[in-house]
Amino acid sequence: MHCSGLILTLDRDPVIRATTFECLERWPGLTLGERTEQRVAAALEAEHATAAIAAVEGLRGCPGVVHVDVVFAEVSAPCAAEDSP
Amino acid sequence: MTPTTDRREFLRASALAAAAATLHASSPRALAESPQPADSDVRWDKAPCRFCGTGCHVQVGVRDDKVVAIAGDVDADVNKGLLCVKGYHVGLALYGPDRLTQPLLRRGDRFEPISWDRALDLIADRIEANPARFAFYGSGQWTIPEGYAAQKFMKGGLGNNHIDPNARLCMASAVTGFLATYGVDEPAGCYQDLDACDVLILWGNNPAEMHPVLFSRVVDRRARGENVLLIDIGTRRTRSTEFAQRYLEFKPHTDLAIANGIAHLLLQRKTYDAKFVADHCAFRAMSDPPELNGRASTFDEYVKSLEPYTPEYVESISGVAADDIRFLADLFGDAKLKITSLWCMGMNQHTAGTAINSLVHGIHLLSGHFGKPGDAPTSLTGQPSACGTVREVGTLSHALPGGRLVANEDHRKECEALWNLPPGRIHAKPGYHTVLMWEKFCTPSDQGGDVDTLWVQVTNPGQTLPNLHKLFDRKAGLKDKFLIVSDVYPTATTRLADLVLPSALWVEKNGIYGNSERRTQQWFRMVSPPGDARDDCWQTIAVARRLFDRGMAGMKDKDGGFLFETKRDGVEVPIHDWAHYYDVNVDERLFEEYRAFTRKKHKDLAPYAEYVKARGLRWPVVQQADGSWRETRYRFAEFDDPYVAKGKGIQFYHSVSKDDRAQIWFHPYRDPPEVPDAEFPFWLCTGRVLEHWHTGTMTRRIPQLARAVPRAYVELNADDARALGVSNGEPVVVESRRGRIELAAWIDGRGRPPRGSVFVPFFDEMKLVNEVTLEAHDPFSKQPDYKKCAVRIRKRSAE
Repeated sequence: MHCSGLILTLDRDPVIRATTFECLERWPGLTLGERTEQRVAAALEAEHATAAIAAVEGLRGCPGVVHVDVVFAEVSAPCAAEDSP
Repeated sequence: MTPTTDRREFLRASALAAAAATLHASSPRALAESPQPADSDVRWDKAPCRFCGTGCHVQVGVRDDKVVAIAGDVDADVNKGLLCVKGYHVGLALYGPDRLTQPLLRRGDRFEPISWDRALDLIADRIEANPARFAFYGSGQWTIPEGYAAQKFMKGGLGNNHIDPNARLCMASAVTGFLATYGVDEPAGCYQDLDACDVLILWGNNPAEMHPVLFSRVVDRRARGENVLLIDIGTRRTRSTEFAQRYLEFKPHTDLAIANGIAHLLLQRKTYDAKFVADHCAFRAMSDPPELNGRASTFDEYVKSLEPYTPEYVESISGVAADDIRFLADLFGDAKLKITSLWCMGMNQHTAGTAINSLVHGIHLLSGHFGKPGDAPTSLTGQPSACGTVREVGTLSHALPGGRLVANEDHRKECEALWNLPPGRIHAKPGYHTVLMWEKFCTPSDQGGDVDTLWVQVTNPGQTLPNLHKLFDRKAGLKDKFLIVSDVYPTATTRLADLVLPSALWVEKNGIYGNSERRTQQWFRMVSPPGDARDDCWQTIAVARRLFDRGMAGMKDKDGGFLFETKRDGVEVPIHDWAHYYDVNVDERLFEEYRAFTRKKHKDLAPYAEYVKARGLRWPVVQQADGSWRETRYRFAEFDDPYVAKGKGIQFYHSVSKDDRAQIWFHPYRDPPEVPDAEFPFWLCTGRVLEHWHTGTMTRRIPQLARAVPRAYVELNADDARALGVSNGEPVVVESRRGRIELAAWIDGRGRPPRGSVFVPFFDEMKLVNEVTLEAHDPFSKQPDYKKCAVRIRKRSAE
C-alpha cells in the first residue's frame, strides 16, 4: 500500500462543489479530512505508487476538481513489479 | 491492532495531518508538531528539495538511517506545504539500485574498484604534473560550500581560472542581462510578485511543468476568484498555455523584435513612465567592438533606433499579429496594472540571450513597472543553487566570490587578502568557459588542446553539452586526456570517465543552496551515504591536502598554512581525513569564511546559525539594532532595501553609469546563426518535462517517474505528421548537420509545436538529443542556444 496526502482545490460554484463531494466520498482509498470553502485535505491509499499517481490523475479529471496538490508521499512502500527501472 | 494496521493508520494520519497543515498554512502548526501516532520513531527535519531552482522546502522523515517519507513544509514561504510530482518523490532519488559506492578506475573497457587513497593520489599526480592544464567543471547543484571550496582550490590555490559550471548552459545570459542593466546580478523582486501581479507574462517559459509549485500560486489565485491575466508568449503550446488567456506564438529567436515593438509603441504613444525614466534610467547601446556594458546612449538615439519597429514590421518578423503587439503595449502603458515577466531557458539559451534579457528589463524600466510588489522582471533558474553557488560564489571562469571579477586587479587583491594569499596568486586572465573548456579537452594536446585533466562534479556534461560529437564524444580517442567524474549514479558522462568517484547525495551530507529569489537555504545530513560514497566538498579538500603534503606552494596561504585549515578550540581538525570530516561542521566553517566576500555587492549573508533556524533568508540579510537579522524581498526599493538611501525611492546603487541609474538598452533584431532551409526544414527546440529533472540521473531511478515518462519523444505538429506520413508513436529520425537520433513521434501530445517546429526533451540518456544541437552561443554570456537549430524529420521506415 502507498499513502499520499492531498489538497484538492474545488470549483467556486457551491452547486458543482456539492456534486464533487459526492464523487470524492465514493472514491476508492480516499479519506477526506479538514476542509475550507474551496479546498479539502485528503489521504489517498493505493495499491502501489504507480496506482497512486494514476489515482491523482483521475482526481484531476473529476468534475469540479480544479487542482490537486500532493503534499505528502510515503517513499518506503515497495514499488509495483512493473515499476522497476 | 496488528503492527501493519497500526502502520497504515499512522501513515494515513500523517498524510491527513500534512494535508490539513498545508490547508491552514498560515497557522503556526508545523508538521513535525502534528500528532504522531504509534509509529513515532520517524525523525523529521527540513531540507530544500534537491531538484529545481524554485527552492521548495520539504520535511524529510527518517527511520533506521533511511528516508521513509517526504512532506511539503508548511512553514516554508516558497511552497507553503505544496510539492510537485518530483518533489514528493525526492527521497527515492537516493535509493536507485545502481548507486556508485566505491571509486572506480578504467582498465580498458572495464572499471576496477580502487581505494580512495589511490584515487586521490591519481588526481594529485595529474594536477601536480601540470596544474595549468587542469580544469574543474562544476554545477548549480554544488552546495555553496562545495562550490566555494572548488573556487578557492582553483583560483586561490592553483592560480588557475579554468573552473566553470553547468549553469553556464542554463542561466549565464540572465547574469549578463542583469549586469548590463543594473550593474549587479540577480532579480530585484521575489516570489511574492506572483501573489501581487495583475498580469503575468511568460516569455518562452513553461512554469506549469518546470516550476509547477510557483505556477500553482497563480492558478490558486484564479481559483479563489482573483483576476490575473496570464499571457504566454511562446514558440509552442505547452501546459502553461492551457491556463493562459492569451497565447502569442512567435517565430523562434524573434522575441527581440517583440520587445522592441512594445518599446516603440510606449514611446510613440507617450505611455512610458517619463518620470521614472528621468529619475532612474540611462540609455545604452552596443559599442564597437562589442562589450558587455556597451556605450552610453541618449533618449533621442534610443527613440530613433526603435522607429522601424512598428507593430506591422514586428508582425512581419515574429508572426505575432500587430494588434497583439499593441495589446502588450497597452498593458505596459497602463500604470495602474502590476506586471510581472517570467522567463527561464527560452530567453537564456539564446545566441542573443544577453540582448533579450536586457530588452525585457528595459520594457519594465521604460514603463515604470518596476520596484513595487507585482511589478517585476524576474528570471527563474533550473538548478537548486545556480544562484547561490554559481552566481554568488562566482564559480564561473571569469568570476570571484561576491560578484567580483578575475580581470579586476582590485577584486583580485581583495580576494587574496580575504584568503590570506600572497599577492599575485590569483591569475588575471579569465579561464575557459564551458564550451571552450570542453573543446580544449576534446582536442589533441599537440593541436592546441591544452586541457589534459578535467574533473566533473555533480553534473552530466556527456548528456547536456551541445553538439556532443564535437564537445564530448571525441575524448574517446584521446589517450593523454584524463576525465574524473564524481557522481551518484553511472551517467552518460561516466561512460568516458577514466576515474569515477562515488558521491554523497542531498541529505546524505550537510548543505546550503541559494534559490531563484536570492534565498539561502541550509540543511543537515540526515542519513549515511551508501558504501564508500563521500561528500564532493571533502573530495576537493582531500585532493588539496594531498598537494599540500607534497609541498605544492599554491595549497598554502602566505603564512604556510593549509588553504582549508580548520580548527576547533585552537586545535586543528584533519578534515581532509574522512574519518574526521564530520568532527566539525565544515559547511559552517566554509560558509562563515565565504560570508566576508558577500558585502561588497550588497549580497550580505547572515551567520550560518540564522539559516539553521529559518526556511531560508533572502539577501541582503542585514543585522538590525536589536541584533536580529532581516532579509530583503525587494532590492533597489527604499520601502524594503536597507541599502537605498533615504528619500531616493528607487536607487540602482551598482549602476553601470555610476549615477544610480539602470540602463535601458537598444538591441536590434538579427537572424539566428542557423535557420531551417530546404535540406533541414524544421526548427528543433529542446527542453524539459514535468516528471524528469534535467538529465534524469535521479528521476529516471524513481520508478514512478520513470514509468510516467519512460522515453524521450519528438513532438510533431499534426499537419506536419500527416505530410510526413507519420502516425503517433511511430519511430522517426531527427537529423541535423551534426548528428541524428531516432525517437517516437508524439502528435498532439502535451506540447503542440506549430508547423515547421519539433520539440525533444533531453532527460533520456538513451536518446541524446544533444548529438543534434548546435554549440553556437551568446557572445557575452557564452551560453549555447539549445532552443533552435535546423533539422529534418524522416520516417525510420522510409530510410
